[in-house]
Amino acid sequence: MLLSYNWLKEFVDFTASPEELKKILTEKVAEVENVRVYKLDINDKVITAQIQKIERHPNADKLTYCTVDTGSETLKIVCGAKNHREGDKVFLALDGAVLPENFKIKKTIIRGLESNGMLCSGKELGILDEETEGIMILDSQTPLGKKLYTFGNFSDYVLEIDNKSITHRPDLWGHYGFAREIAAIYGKELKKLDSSKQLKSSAHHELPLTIRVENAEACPRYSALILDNIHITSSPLWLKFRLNTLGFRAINSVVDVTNYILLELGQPTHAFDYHKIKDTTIVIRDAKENETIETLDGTKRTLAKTNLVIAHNTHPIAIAGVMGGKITEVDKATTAIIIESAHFHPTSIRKTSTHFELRTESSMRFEKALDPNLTTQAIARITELLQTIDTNSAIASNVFDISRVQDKHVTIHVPIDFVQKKIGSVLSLETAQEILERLDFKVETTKDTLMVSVPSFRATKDIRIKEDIVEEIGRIYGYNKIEPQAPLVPMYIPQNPRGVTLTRTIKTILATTLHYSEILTHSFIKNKNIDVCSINKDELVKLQNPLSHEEEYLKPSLIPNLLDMIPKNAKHMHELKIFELCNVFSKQGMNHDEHTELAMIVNYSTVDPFDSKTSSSLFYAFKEDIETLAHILKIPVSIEEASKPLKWLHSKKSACIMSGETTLGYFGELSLSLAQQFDIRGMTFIATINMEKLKNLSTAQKNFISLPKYPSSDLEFSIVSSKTTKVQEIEKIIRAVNNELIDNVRLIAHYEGTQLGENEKSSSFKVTLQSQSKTLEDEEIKKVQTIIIQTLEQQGWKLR
Amino acid sequence: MEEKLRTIKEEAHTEITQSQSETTLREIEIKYLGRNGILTSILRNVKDLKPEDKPIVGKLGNEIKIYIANLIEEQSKKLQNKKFAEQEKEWIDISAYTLEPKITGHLNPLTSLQYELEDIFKNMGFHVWEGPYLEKEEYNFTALNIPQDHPARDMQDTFWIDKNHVLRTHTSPVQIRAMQSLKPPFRVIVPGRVFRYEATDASHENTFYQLEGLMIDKNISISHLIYTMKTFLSAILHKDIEIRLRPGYFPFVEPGLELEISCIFCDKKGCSICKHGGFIELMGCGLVHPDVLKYVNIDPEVFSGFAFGMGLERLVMLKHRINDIRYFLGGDLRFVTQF
Repeated sequence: MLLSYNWLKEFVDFTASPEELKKILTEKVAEVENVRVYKLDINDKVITAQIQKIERHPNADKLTYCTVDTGSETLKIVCGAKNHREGDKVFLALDGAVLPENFKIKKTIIRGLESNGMLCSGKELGILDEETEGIMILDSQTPLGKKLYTFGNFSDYVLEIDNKSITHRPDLWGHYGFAREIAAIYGKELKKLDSSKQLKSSAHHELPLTIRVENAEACPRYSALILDNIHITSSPLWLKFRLNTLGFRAINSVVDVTNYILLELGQPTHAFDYHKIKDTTIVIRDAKENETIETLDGTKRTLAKTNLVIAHNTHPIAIAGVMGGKITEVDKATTAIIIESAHFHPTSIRKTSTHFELRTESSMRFEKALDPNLTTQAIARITELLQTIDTNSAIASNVFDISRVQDKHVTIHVPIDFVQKKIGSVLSLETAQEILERLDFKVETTKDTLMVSVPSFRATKDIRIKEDIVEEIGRIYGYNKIEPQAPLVPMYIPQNPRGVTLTRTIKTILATTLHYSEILTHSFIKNKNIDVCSINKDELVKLQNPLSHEEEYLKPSLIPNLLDMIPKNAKHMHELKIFELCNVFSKQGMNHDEHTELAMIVNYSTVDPFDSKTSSSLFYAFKEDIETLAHILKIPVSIEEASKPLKWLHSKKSACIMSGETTLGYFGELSLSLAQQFDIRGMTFIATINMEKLKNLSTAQKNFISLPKYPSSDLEFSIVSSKTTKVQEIEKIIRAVNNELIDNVRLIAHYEGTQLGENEKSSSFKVTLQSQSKTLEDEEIKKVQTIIIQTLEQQGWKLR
Repeated sequence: MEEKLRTIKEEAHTEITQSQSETTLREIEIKYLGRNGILTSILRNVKDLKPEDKPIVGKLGNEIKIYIANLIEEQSKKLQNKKFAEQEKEWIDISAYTLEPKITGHLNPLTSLQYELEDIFKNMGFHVWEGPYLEKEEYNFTALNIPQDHPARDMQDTFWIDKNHVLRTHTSPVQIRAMQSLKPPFRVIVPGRVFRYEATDASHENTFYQLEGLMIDKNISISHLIYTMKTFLSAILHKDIEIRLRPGYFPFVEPGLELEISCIFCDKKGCSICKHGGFIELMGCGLVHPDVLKYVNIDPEVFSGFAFGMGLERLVMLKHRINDIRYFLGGDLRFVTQF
């Protein structure tokens, strides 16, 4: 919302500069985002004049050559506008005038003709913000030679209020509400707005009207007044200027006055052309299904039953509280008007406004639960202002006021020590009382309690409980006067859930020890990837209102989104190691499952995916990363053949990650056909681990094993076996030879190739012998070696 | 015989001092002192000498043996020192580098900041809690005093799953979960991912991270809130910062406050980042609304508390001067690996 600094000053006599006002309002009331400056240098070189004659410019099609009378002289002016007619009264900037943005007007030759100044548009003069059609045409009654500054003050500062900071304050949607706050802050008097004028029809001017409220829940109060003898004109300049600087387009005297009062009091009103109302009847009712209305913005809209409308006997004439209809629009021919000033239910208005995606100055305010007492006050102010502009207009009815509103008297008892405890500052009962009274609360006190009665403009929803009163006192007193104070609290050691601690440990190990980088992706999955990854849509959680129809479901796995990230990163690096640890979602029957998952991906974009030798060594490196992670976490894991391998993986180059009987997850080489769908080159390995399962495992208890007292001895064996013989199997057989002395068996070399048969491989193992009781003699070592050789040969394996 | 020994000594001396390698030195050692070495043989045959010659030759032989052994060791040290001296002269171009650089792992800057904040709050006795993304409508709105017809519930602001479930729009529902489980007094923070139905641009994301905090105890006041905020913000920004409060509206707190910090870039002098105001808007906070406490069966007449919440992206963007929020979930490693 925009606030005029000068207008506020009309209500309160304060001295703060616009910048100071911005600061103090932000600190105590609502956020002021910016101050705009409208500054028109007062000089006497811009005056009124009348166009006597318009000729075509002989050397330019688009220019005219005007003869202009200033009252004291006749001047020739070249003009580029199209809207001026002979006889029009206009503003003329004379030689030497300086217009806003330092636009200097000089006597000059334009296309061969002398021009002695410029006929001005509202924008050129800095009066009107908007570029209206051509030069500004003044009222025909305007005297000639009148200086611009005598028409009003066309300088102002406009404060931009952040609307979000006043959503809970229906009283702050007009200037008067802010003026009240300023008066409270500075302890100044607020000008009263009560009109002394009696709103009564004069006997010879009574126009008939019937008003019927059919939905009183959506429209608890409906007030109206008829004015006759209306003469629609363009508004006076000061009014146009004010509306323009506050973001409203000037339309005509009636509409401008209703908008002006909207900005003053925050109460939206609407003017209907009285003679366009059929059968002099107004009904406030729910719309009928598929009823239509053309609104003032020229749009034809189909109404729904939930929309509240204002209607005459046959048709809706306005969408209540949102926008008026075209058929009863006030225009140049209008001679009588009905001023509507109602109180609508906030939810009804919000729903209708959302339904049409139409947020107007009016709907924005009604949504906030305005003070119901504003309706008649606004009518009084509109009448008062309109009659000063349109002096012949006459009241042609009594005030209609159909009200079901019951005056809410909210009184709140607030002990002063409650206020002190909440604020944390010793603030006296008297100070608190004074602050509240300045904000128009009525306060009675006992020795330690404030009994606060809430004014109607704050009682609609804003102020209800004693904490609300603490806020009122706190903000005006000044939050920044409160001294920081360390809380006195019991000491304890924070206990974090295991999931929280485990997540952090894993992320840290992956990044710092295993050199994976963390990538975060959105929680949605692309429809395209659902198909590519052959995911069953029935098992996915669907959004009711997706942002895009490409992403309607929540991701059931981290992998697809991460795979999407590979091609663009592979452009910059050949080796990618990434991980994500985040929640994934699935649907099981009617229930939603959400759990945390860890995904790791490694991609070597330049490695030939058909190079099986590299493939196996990279596979083992990836496997080692997973084992290292488990080792640091002290969680015992084993890598086992998957009975049902993950469909995205190579069927053989994949395995499951087990801990005891629990399947923690899967890993392996990404299937080449899937890689191709994602446009991923080279060789890729992926792993997924279910964090829910992981966090329920207990860590292994580490007990110290005494360091060996005697030296150990190493033996080496190279075994030729069939290719499909598992290393694990050979190790197991060697170990079984002598469980007591064989301390460790480890693969140290691996060979497949021309020196061996096609289905053969050679594996070399280092076997470490260690006794806990003595240094082993050569003979003992020899003995074990012989038995190992015998055992291996019994398996049909050759030794090299 | 004496003559012969003296000659051996002289010859050995020459050979040893002229020797230029460890290998020749070993050969010389074997030649003179080895099992069949010249000197060893002489000493072995002393027993066959005349009785008057025995002590002289024996003594002289042993002296020469020690002399040779010492000389070999001396020469060996000399040779070694010479090698060391030569090795010292070796030059390397320290501006060159390994041809296959090791890749390094990086946490997303959001995660790093989250952990930094967790550590600060843990030191002040705050638990760290998490909650589900797919949240009950009741916890996300109703329990937090967000009424049935509040605009925040609109399809325009919230991702809905069904009429009872949403993607949480803030971390605040975890406040409710924490208050239902923990017995006051307690302190807890909740970092995590949240969602808003919003078009994405340089400063808006539909998915972002918040950190929420809650302290419930007896007689908690705004002055305690100010103290705690100032303490943690100074710690995370590594600077003694000033904070400023102004009214703000959040349904689950009353009074509700907006918190601003003194600009960390210009020290309140005014710069483009603080829009020349000297202060930067950072977070919302306030005293927990009594209706929220009642909802979780905490008696607001006995306990009170403060709550605060902020966007992690905003803080990271300020700290590292990042100009586009989309980098965080953009998956570009050239971004992540800078931190």
